[in-house]
Amino acid sequence: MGGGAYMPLAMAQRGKVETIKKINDKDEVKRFLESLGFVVGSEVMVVSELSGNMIVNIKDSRVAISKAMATRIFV
Amino acid sequence: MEKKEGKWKGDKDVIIMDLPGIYSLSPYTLEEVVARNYLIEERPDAILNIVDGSNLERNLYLTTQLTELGIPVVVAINMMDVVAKNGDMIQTERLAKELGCPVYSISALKGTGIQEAAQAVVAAAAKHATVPQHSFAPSVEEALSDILAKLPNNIPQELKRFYAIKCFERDEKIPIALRTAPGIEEIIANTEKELDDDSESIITNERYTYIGQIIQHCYQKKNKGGLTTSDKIDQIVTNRWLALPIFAIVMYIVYYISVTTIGTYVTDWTNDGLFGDGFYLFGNGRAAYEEANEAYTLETQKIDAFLAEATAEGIDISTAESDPIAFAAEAAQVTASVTITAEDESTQILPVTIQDYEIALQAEEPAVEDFGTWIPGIPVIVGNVLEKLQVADWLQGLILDGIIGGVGAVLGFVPQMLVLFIFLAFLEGCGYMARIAFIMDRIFRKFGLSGKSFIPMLIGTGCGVPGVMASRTIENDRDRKMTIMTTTFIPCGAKLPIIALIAGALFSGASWVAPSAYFVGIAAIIISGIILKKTKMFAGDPAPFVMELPAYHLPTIGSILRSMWERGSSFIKKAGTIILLSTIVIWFLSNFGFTENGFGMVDDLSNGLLANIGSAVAWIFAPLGWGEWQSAVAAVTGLVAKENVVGTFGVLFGFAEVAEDGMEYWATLSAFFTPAAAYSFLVFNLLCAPCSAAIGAIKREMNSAKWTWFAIGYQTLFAYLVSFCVYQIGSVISGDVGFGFGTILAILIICGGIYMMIRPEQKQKVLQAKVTA
Amino acid sequence: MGTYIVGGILVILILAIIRKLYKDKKSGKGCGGNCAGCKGNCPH
Repeated sequence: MGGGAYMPLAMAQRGKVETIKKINDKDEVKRFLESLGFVVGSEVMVVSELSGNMIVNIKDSRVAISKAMATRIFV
Repeated sequence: MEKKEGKWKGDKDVIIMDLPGIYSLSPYTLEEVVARNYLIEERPDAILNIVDGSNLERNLYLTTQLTELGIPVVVAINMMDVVAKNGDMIQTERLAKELGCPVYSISALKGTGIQEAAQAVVAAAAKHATVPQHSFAPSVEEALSDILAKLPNNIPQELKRFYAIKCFERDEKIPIALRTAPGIEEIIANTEKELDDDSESIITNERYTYIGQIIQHCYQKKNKGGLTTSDKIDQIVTNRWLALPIFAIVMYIVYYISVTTIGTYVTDWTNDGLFGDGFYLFGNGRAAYEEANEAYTLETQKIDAFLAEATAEGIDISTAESDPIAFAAEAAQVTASVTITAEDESTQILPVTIQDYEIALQAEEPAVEDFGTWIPGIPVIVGNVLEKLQVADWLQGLILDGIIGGVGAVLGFVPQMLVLFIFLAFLEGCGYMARIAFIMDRIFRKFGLSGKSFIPMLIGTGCGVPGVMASRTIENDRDRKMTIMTTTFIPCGAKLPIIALIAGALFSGASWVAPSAYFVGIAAIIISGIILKKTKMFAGDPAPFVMELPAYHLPTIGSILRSMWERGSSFIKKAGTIILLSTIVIWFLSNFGFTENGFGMVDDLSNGLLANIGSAVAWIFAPLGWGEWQSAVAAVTGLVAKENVVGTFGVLFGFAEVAEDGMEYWATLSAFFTPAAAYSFLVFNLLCAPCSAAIGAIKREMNSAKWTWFAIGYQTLFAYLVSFCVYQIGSVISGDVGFGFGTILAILIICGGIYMMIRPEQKQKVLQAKVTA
Repeated sequence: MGTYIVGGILVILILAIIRKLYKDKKSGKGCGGNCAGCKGNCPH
């Protein structure tokens, strides 16, 4: 999506490569996400989704994240 | 989670320290802190950084931090075989230049490049420290050099940058004196305002920017973007509709093959053959024996029929044996008949005259050994040896009925366990187990739990002890306690013989029994989770779930076999030690007691000490359908080791007793329980307090006697109530027991349980903050 | 006579087992009585 409106990763389309624009809440969880590669500018793609929980491709690896996380990452 | 130390095979002076696998040197998880402390305090001479080549970008995150430590670093890129297979390319020389340290390609799977990398590390230890080649954005660098100037002089030169960066990130594990030096906080705050982000994220972003450049220069991917094979598999396996059914099918197949088909077949042979009468080598001779046996049986039938007919005609048969001639004279006119049923169901009636009767008397029972290669079972061999050595009867009993009976009963299940272990090793190795945690998370989340609680349960399918210990990864204290309490609900390896025994002896090996035990465990965990979450003690939001999923790959035969062997041999070892000792104790207690002659061996086990003790408590289990002392005792011995439940039955029911068909042990057992009682017994042993080793683990993780007792108490109470309902409802359904008080009670309990599950969540109890030194 | 020999062997065996279990406990074997499935001492 172009400039302006960001979309939560939780709503991203499966199979489409998105770029992370922002991650909410500066806390421990955010830092753990960052160490996994979820940083502004990284490319991420949703592989599979299960009631809000998602498996995404990030930095060539596969990470499973819960819905709570997916709503804090904006692409 | 610990460090592992060893010596290098190439040079015994070189000590290798294996640190826990980590993504970064942040101070958040236990593994990271352990690794970090080791590196900073012990200052190893060199670091071998093994990164995953198929995942280079993220793995380099740690590398950038390692190069800042002022220790020589050598990078070894692993999984190069996977990289090559994908058609990707990594330019290692360029990478080495950009990182500032040597880079080697290895493939641990194929065993290539490891020697070179090892030698390089040893060589690097002698050289000077790696100088990090990366620098951050100008404003960050400025802040860092400002902080560096404020650092005390006792910090070694090569570590200064590391500490400066950590101060900038406000790292909690850095000595507080450093962090709060005057002026530092101001520098950090200014930079944060300038870049509109918190200091840690700033550094993280910078690292990834730098890594991004490296990747661009050194890493060529063949197919950019798009779904990998693993992704495609995941799309099916974690699909919202297919995930659970697929999981159910997979587990069903695993248990069907290991327990019901291969398992039962091999276990039968082990029980009846190896530990029974014996067996024909490769079946050589069995057909001939069976034919001879059939003929013999026919003759005995003729005898019985004739005697019965004679009695019916009023002839006194009591003298048939003592005075055959007189009997023959009297019964000369008697004609009986026997019916032979052929394989095609056709029947033939044979007359039995006095002549036939006398011929039949001559028939000799065929001896098993005469028909081919007969190998006597262990009890037979041992029995013969003991007889020859003229060993006293009681000692023979101890060895044959006690030890061989008990341990043999357990060992009989080794084949099944091995097959199951192969499957579990495969599931783990290929990466599916990680997906299961993800799939279960969706269910767990609905009830306030997180999928992270499921991993200890997965591990628990092997052994509950490491399963309980795995709960350490759960940060949320309440979730962790709840996970510890429920992990042992899932059937562990030791409970498998119990499941197999009940399935085989009491349900004729029905294929639904074993998988059902597994699902009962999962259901117990979920239900407990729901109920506990609703109580004030455990309420709260579930922890967020983040987990890396490895790519799917075929595990090597070697690794599967090795895993199976590890588990299998520890199982056998346990049988030979703890279970052996337990069976001896049980044998003594059961065979000795107070008789009319004082204290000594008893003829009838029901008079032994064990029976006395058992009967005293057996009534507790009467409502569950198995109020006899044998079952009660078996269940209690399960506290030492779950396999003892089977072992105890083996001792008590005379497993080693030689019978015509060798099935006597199982047959006796099946006469002991009704189906409902049997399943209730199974459920109770599955869910009640675990073995002492697991209880010990629970105590260590809970770190509080009060919580440990609570956990065990909860498990046992839960087990009791569930088994009660199973028996009551099951008996009514199977028609063994009529609808009665017990049934009503069971229904009430079920309603109570449902209420506990659907009631609104209690407000979170405000916990007093405890300050621990 | 045979009783004593066999009995003696048994007693020695039992003592050996108990000693082994005790030594394992002291060296802190992570899995206690050795449950099937403790691959190494890492609970992960």
